[in-house]
Amino acid sequence: MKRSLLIMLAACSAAPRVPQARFANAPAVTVVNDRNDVPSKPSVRLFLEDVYQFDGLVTRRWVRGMELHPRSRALGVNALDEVPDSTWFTNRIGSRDLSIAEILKGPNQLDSPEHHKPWTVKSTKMGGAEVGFLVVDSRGEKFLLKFDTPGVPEQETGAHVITQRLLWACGYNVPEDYLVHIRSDELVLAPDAYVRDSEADSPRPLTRAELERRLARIESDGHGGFRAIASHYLSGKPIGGHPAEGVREDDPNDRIAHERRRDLRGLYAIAAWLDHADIMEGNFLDMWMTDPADPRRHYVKHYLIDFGKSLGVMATTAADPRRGYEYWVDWAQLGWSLVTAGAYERQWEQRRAPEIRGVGLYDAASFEPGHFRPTSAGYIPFTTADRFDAFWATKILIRFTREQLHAVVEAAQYTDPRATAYITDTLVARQRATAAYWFARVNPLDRFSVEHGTLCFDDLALRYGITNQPTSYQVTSFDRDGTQLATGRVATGFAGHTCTGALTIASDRDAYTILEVKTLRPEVAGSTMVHLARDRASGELRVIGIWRP
Amino acid sequence: MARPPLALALVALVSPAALADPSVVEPAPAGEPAPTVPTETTAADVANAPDPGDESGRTDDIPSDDTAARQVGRGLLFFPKILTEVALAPLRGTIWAYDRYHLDERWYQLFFNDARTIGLYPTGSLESGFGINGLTVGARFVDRDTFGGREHLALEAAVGVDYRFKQLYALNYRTRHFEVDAGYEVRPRDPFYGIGNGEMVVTPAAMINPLTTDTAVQTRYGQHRARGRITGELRLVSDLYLRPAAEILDRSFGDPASGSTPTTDVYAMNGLVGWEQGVTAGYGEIELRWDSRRAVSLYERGHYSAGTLAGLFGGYETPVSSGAGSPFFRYGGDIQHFVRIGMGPRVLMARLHGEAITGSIDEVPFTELPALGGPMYLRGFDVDRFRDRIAAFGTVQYAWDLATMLTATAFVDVGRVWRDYSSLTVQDLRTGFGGSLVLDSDGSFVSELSLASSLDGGLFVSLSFNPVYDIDERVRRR
Repeated sequence: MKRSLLIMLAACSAAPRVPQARFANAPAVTVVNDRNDVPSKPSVRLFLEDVYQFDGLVTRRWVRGMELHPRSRALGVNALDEVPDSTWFTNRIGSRDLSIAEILKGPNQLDSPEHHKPWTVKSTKMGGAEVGFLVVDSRGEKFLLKFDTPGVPEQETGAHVITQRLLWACGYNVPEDYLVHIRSDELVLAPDAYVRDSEADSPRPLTRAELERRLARIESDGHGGFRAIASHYLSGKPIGGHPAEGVREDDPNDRIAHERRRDLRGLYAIAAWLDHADIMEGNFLDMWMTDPADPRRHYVKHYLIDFGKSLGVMATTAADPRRGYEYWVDWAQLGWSLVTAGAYERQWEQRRAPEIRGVGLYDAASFEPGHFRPTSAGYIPFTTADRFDAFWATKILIRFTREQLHAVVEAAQYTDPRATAYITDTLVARQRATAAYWFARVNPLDRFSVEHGTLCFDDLALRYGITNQPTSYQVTSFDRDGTQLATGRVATGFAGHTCTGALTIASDRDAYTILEVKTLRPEVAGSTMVHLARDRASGELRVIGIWRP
Repeated sequence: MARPPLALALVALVSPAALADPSVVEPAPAGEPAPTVPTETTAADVANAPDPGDESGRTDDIPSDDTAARQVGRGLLFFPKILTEVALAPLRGTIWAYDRYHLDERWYQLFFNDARTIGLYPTGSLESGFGINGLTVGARFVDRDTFGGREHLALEAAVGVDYRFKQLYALNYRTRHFEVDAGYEVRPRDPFYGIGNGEMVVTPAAMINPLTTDTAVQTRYGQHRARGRITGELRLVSDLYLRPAAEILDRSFGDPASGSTPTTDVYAMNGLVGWEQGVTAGYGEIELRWDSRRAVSLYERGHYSAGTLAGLFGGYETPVSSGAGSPFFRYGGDIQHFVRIGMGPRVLMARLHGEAITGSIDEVPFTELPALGGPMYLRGFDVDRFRDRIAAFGTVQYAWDLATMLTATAFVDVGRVWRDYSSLTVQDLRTGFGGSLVLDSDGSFVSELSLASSLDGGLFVSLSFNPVYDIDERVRRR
């Protein structure tokens, strides 16, 4: 009796095996309504880069440390642990197959401005030390022209094209960007064209001589012209980037603190894959736009912009191989280096890339997906991201096939075919390294469904060939209250797709059953709790929730 | 120009990249999903959807991730947090104003021409340990393209409170091949520790004759110095350069600014050449220099990590005014070698410097004697702590990167001075040691903050705007 009591007490005091999460017996939310009317334009957030960097390195970093924020799971996630469509993110390759044509087209709705010359130069680009112009093509469409940094031809324009297409395919909003070639005689000056390089400048007339002087700073494409990215002006009114923490107070649709958003936190894994180290508030842009169907309604849509420093290009243009591996000032690395007098090898020291025209310092051998660091420490969602956010993003990026990636890289139109081959190979290698890393840290089971009374799912690590180790699964069913109903094992099916045997279902009205599916493979951590219930309309058993403990 | 439709179809079949033309919706290749035409979501499309934050489908009470321990900790850290924000506010506010109002751009608009080749900017320096007295502020006018060939002209005026310079006026003009430098300085507190390698004492028993006794006492004197200098650089072959230089200088000496022990209170200075009547002299020098120092990698630009510098020089100085000593020769050499031991870079540097004069100490003005001490020569000791006819020191320094723009160094400097070659010995060598932080920007040296001490004690903090491995011209060093 005493022994039984002890066992019972031990059982009561142990952590419950079934986590607390319970879900409504309803289809998962696939889209949220963040397009309620915002009648007044929200205030424009000025991006003061030095302040932003100082806050990221010092003020906010230290103060936030003293605020002792708990590690919290992401919000903006539906019952299936996925991100619904919103003004921040649209499910694309993560939820359906995309054709190569779709990926290549990306967000681009217009015919390329390259087919609509001459272009009229309206002004110089404001901000930054690089040459750029605001131009209008012969249709009247407005573009921002950006060029490669001298000395590293094709790197920025190539990286921009590739990353823009891939981010769009992943689900993020990006501008319509076109790779173009232009000669100086195809640029005409507007009568009122002006030079204004910074907000402190007063506009002064842009002369032909000044235009030619600026073009002379750009490297020619070898055919008497210049290679550039023409970025189509986004519709709406720009209001700056989003704050890294909290919400925009004057946007009622912005209800989830940004450091808690799954779509922003998950971007970490995608940015690591693409070595998109230039993540900071200034490279996001919110647009207060008019609803396409109702011109009386306005709301904010959220974009990523400026991708030219991805794919190792930040390291080459800044002449700093640390970019992507350390913050610009990384206190931890700095302190450790000071204490050890540099007597250890840093991860970025292994970084190598062939000297091919168009290729930045982008490699796979030195890549560690969990140790990516953008240049700026100020983007808080990257510091609050957890393994579940990275897993969600990895599920998306692993869906790109080699053929799709090759096609995207080809769109960068590198002069040297070795560049296309190398970047494709490196994208694939880093993609697989990302998958191997995060699929080992979160039970890599997904795409759960109920088929003929059995639970079916994909083991993503097997499905994508990350591992081929013999695998089986322990499946245990519980009722809503966490009482175990049955347990059993099932071996993996073909190509990582597995279906269990007949399920032991709870006997309550909704047949609310929780299945714990544990992958029996050495390098895999954790299990996945799959919540099932009977659809009250059809009587069919369906997946209503997924919880990854 | 519209492309012929047939050509378009042919290109589309050949190259997937050509499918970038969005006006064409290509049929899906075999095995590929059918493409969909994306449409912009409207508010009506999502009108019945839940608001953000209500999508989770959770029916349980979602527990807070906060804990009692965190709440207690947060309470304890509340005031330190406020204090941190308050302490950082001035600096952050300055950075905010700089960014928000584009202060650098406004400065250029106010004080520079459109091409930013001609303009004015402030200068300043602070010598530590003297509080506000160590402050020197001024302005510098520059013309960075004087005659269209990127010649550089600078005019500077500065005033200090009372330490290194009370007044400074300087002109500098340089081209690729030569440099002209002229200036007038009122220096209120130059150090004098006697002549020789003597030990420091605090209170001497009696007046010290620096010509016969090498006892060192920390004293200071005032100096007015005017100088004009021209230096050339001629590349002979490969990394071999010929560097001629000539200077005329005029010095007069007197009491230091208040608050320092005057040199004349401790040392019998009237026997030293030039002390009473001043020094007016002309100096000419030739240096042969081999300089193969370089950054090994594009990613380590601005940091010497390989190569050697070897220089030999010989010069002749003659007094212009009578009673200001005798002519003498100055000669010596400098050798530096950099060894890269790792990426970053991590570099070992070794340096040997030697300098000597032919005249005796009662024939040569004391300010012209080779000297050691200070942030450039024998760190860990005050500037000009040791002076005599022969001076030599060696340095071993290890540098490693802390961050993109920050390098740390650790160094040991060893050296001493001698009266003549017959007294050359390795006994009583002076040893300084310390470390520094070097800041650079886009591969260009910005500043170095060093902390140095020595086996003789003392602690010296200095902020320098010249790299320690730069060989400053002898005609400009003091």
